[in-house]
Amino acid sequence: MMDGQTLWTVIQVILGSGIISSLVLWLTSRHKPSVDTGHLTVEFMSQVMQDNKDLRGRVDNLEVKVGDLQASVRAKDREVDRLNRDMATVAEALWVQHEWQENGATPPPPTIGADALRLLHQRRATD
Amino acid sequence: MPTRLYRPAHARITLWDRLTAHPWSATVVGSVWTVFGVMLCWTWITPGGGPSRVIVTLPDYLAAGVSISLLVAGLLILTAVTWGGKDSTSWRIELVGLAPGIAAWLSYGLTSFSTGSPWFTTLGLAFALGGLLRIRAITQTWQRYASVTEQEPRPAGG
Repeated sequence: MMDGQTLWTVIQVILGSGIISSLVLWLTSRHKPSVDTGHLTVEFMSQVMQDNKDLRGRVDNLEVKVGDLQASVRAKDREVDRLNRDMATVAEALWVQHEWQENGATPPPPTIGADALRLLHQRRATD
Repeated sequence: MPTRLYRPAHARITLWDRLTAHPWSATVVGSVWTVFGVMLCWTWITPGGGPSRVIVTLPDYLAAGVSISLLVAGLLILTAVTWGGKDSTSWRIELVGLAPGIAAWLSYGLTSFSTGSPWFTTLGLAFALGGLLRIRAITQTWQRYASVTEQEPRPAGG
């Protein structure tokens, strides 16, 4: 524990230091930019334009890739359509055969399922 | 081709960065300091009538110094927080406010210690330490800002 007089002296020193520090901070903290802000602005805009150009190039490349992918998707769609048509033909032929069998026709007429049998053989060969 | 002017910092955030990166706390600190400054001024102006039992142990001129320093510091910090002009001016005002505030809190903490009041001793020293951290944060930010803006060479003709 400090005696009262010492404490008061210490507090005087602290408060005085605070005031002096405050003045010193005010005087030394003035911001003086040593750069030419106009030059910085021009450089920044130039950089932005270069970035813009680069981005346009990247967008062009992406558009080409997207075009290729879309063509690939269209080809796949066509393949799916063809398979759908084949499956519809097989299903229809099997249904007709089923109806003949239900009605007691044995064996089923040779005219049905010619295309279906061809497609089934084809499918087995590819599987 | 010009180089990039603004580069993101990829350095990991350190404990020091976390300690010094809370500008919102300046509002709280400024408000608390102002309220304490008002209460100390009240006690100083009307001895025995104010809420502080610590400041009355000081002579009048020291009580005035501590009270006014703390009040002015709080008001300056609040001014800085709400400053509508340039950031650099706001920081300067805050720095000017922090110095007497730290001195006032140190004085208050020491007085509390001598009067056997551990709570207010801790509070005073904590605010003084927080103020020092804030000063360091501001000056560090300035140094980083200067190091970024002054990397670019000046034009030959400029």
